[in-house]
Amino acid sequence: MVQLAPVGTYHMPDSLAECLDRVADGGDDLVILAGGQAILPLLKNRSLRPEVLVDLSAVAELRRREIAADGTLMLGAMRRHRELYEDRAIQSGWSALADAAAAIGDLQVQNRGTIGGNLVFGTVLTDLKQVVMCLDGRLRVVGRSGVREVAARALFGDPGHALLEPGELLDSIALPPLPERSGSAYRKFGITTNGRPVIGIAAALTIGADGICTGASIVVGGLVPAPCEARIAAQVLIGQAIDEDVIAHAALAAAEEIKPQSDARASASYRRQLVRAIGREVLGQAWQRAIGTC
Amino acid sequence: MENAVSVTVNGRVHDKTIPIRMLLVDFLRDELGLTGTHVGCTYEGRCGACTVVVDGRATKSCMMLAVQANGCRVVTVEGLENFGGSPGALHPIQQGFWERHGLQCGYCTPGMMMTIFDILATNVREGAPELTAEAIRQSLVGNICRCTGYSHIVEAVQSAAAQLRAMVPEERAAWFDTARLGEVRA
Repeated sequence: MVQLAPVGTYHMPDSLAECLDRVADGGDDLVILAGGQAILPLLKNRSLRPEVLVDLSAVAELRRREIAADGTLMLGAMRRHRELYEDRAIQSGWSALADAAAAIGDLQVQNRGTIGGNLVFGTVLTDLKQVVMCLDGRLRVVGRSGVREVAARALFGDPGHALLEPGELLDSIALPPLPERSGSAYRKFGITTNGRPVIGIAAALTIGADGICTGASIVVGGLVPAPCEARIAAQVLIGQAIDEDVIAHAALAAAEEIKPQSDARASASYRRQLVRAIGREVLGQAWQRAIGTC
Repeated sequence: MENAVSVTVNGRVHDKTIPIRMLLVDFLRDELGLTGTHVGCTYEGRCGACTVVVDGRATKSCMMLAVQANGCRVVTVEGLENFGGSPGALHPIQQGFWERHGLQCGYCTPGMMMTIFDILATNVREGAPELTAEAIRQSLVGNICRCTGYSHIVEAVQSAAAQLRAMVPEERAAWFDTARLGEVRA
């Protein structure tokens, strides 16, 4: 038997209002459980010794999944990874999100882990931050004082910017529809299969009927202190007739413009090599999806 | 410090008062005596041996608190033989492991079987299409086996899938219908 530190109170609120009250009243010794896949290990090794646990899994509002009249996809923070990649609308309309969700941990983690946990948990080395940035997502944050929205690009691209103030929760994310003839994809390399990304790249391309690229968004994750938009690489693609050579050129540009760190998992030069290799794959996949061949 | 829970495990409803900090795996093993669910990696969530099915989804029971399972329907490896409706009837998953010799030391087997339960239940819901070896391996990423090299486990899943495909849809679905296990108060 493993002994976590003793916990005084466990709450499983079934409404967002009750949830916010619990969080606001909980003080410093409160831990929020979403899917628990990152938090449970910290409870086991007693890095966290909470007095109060608030479990979000019964809050129906946080499990919403809607597509608005303008085509915007709204996903509650407690949607689980498996629910994302098994969702046909997400597979076709926001493919990068489905790719990423299917590449987080293993099946058991995907069954428990949530969008909110992946986005909020305090490490940049997760998969969904770069995907939500690439797809131009917005985050809806709720607190007792009201609701605010923040753009993922501004938030996750700036390491000095905290997502949540005390007493706040991530309610949901909103992803706008991609333009016609667009495709998106996500690929990553982890030390173990589906491990945290050493490098993870999200890409979205829009290709005109004449084969010319009219829009490109590339965000590279696995970088410290924050995921990085590869703007020069995107400019290499825009205005060009896309083929394998242009894609290889863009992947090289991305590898050159990022500033990767060296750490225990990979050197900076290896990370650049990964960006070249994975960049070609992910751009190729987004391109094929945009022109409808897969 | 303690909470009352009601958890349905293999069709038996267990009402218990347990510490909040108790993991689901310890609840199953120590409170209910269901030691078929194994601990292989000192509770780090890395090995998958403690996988059980919670409300239809394969879940590492060391990565969930027992209080979180309140109101849930849990199936452990001990529950597999109850789906057949007659004593000793092996579940197609068990039959597959038997036929293809999908184990050596057997320590990882309960977790493997419960992950496979989820994979095959999904496959059956989708009309039981062919499962590729690659798809099976991808689904078993979270279950570590140090004996078999996985090849016989993959074959065991394919054998189970083939048995299921040979059945009429109702019979196929019954092997994954946890409601069939009943709700008898323990």
